[in-house]
Amino acid sequence: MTLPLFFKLVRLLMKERMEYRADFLLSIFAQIIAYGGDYIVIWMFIQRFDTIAGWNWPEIAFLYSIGLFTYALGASFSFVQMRDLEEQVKNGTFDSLLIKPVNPYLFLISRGFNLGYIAHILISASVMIWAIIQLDLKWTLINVLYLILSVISGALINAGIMTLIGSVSFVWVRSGFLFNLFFRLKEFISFPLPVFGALIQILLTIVMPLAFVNYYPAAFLLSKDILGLPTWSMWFVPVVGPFCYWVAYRAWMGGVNKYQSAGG
Amino acid sequence: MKTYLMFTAKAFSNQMAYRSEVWFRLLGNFVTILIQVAIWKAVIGEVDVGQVSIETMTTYSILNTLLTALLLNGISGKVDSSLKSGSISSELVKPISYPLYLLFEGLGGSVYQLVFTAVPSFLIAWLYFGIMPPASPVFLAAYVTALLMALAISFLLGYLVSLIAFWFMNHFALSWMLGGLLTIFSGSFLPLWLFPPTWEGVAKLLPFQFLGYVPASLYLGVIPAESILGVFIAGIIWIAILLLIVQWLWKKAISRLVIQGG
Repeated sequence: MTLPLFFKLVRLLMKERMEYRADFLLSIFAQIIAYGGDYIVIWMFIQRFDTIAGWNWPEIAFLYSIGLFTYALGASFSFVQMRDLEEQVKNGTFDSLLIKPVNPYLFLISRGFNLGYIAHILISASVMIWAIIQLDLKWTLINVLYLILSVISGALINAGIMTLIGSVSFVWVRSGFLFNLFFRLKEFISFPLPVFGALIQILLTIVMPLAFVNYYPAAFLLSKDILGLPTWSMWFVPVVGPFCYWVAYRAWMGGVNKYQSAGG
Repeated sequence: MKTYLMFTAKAFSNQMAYRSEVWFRLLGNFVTILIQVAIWKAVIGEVDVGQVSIETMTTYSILNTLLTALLLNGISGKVDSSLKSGSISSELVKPISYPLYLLFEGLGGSVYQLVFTAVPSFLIAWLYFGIMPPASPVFLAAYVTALLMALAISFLLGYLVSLIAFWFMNHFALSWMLGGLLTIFSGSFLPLWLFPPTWEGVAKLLPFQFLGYVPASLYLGVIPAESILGVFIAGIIWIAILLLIVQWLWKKAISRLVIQGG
């Protein structure tokens, strides 16, 4: 699965989508309404209470948008692919992937590369840009670079967790319920981490490092004090994502090696 | 009637196959409640907003998290898959009413959720967070009535989406839109009395409030006793309106049904 091959695939997927142009546009419109709903509820909440844990509306909007943007990036090459793995393992259709002369993981994620997240990207990027203008941040080269690296890392954390959940299919066949749990847990990072107790903060930092997706990078960029951590610790953020993703990838490949077809 | 109850029993026992996942559902509900309670704790005390105490908001969050598990959410997905596979044609030739079949099958899922998710989650939440008792027996009765209305309205909205999908063939998009409207206007996280006035006015004109704000507020007695009747009349009017719309759409949809599968 080389890069030119991947881009060719994306072009084909784009063509496929555009066959049903009205349908695709309707989906985009619908998802913008759905996520707009989330933004509106948080906006109404802050209208009433001014701040949450010292974060005002543009700051929370910035935080939430990084979360949504990185989720969309990560999910485009992992969610549907990993969710459907359960069905493929159950029916035995996954076997056909193993006889192809390519890395099964790379083939699976590229073949299923999902353009459906374009709406998530549109709404989260727009709100993020709006928030950045409101916040009047100093856009030094370092800050821009840091934001880009953090977004990549956040996408890899999301993709890593979903890949890990997908690999559960090889052992238990069913994994859908873990996705449901993941979506519940993801709600934690719609709000600043200090809202939650110490135990949750530790869990979201070490066990399931969702706090690195948006809270830590946003807090550093907005110069919020994080337990008096020194500034250099901000550079942990871009490292966590690739590490998570690498662990998940190893686990997934390990699962494939253990895999015994359930279908007949 | 007996036939339909069989569908309910069947749906219930189908769900039983996934008993082992109950723990994850309980954990999921616990997490949702934990998040909401933490957020309320973070803001209450800093600002005095009236009618909001941490006990009230904890109870409100618990009731709404559990209600979400009970609502009939899977209707449009079910109709969509039988539309796409073509199995709807065989459903339609059976001597039963298709909408009633959907309703009773959905109720089987709700009963399962009630027994295996809502009740245990309620007990866990009660022990861990504490839940206020209902404002009075009258309000408890009103709450139970409102729950039944919520079931009816959630079914009708899901069914409406699946009927509109006969034309658009994209039930996902329509479900997303419905989901967005519910997020804002059901008040299941942020109660309507904390909305900005214009938004509150709009939300009170829509049926979505019955799937969040209305039942929980009745339980807490936030809706005054003299308004209960008015709220129920509004609910019944909404059910009637939705029923008329789905009846009309159903007739239209059947006559233009295009089977996709073979």
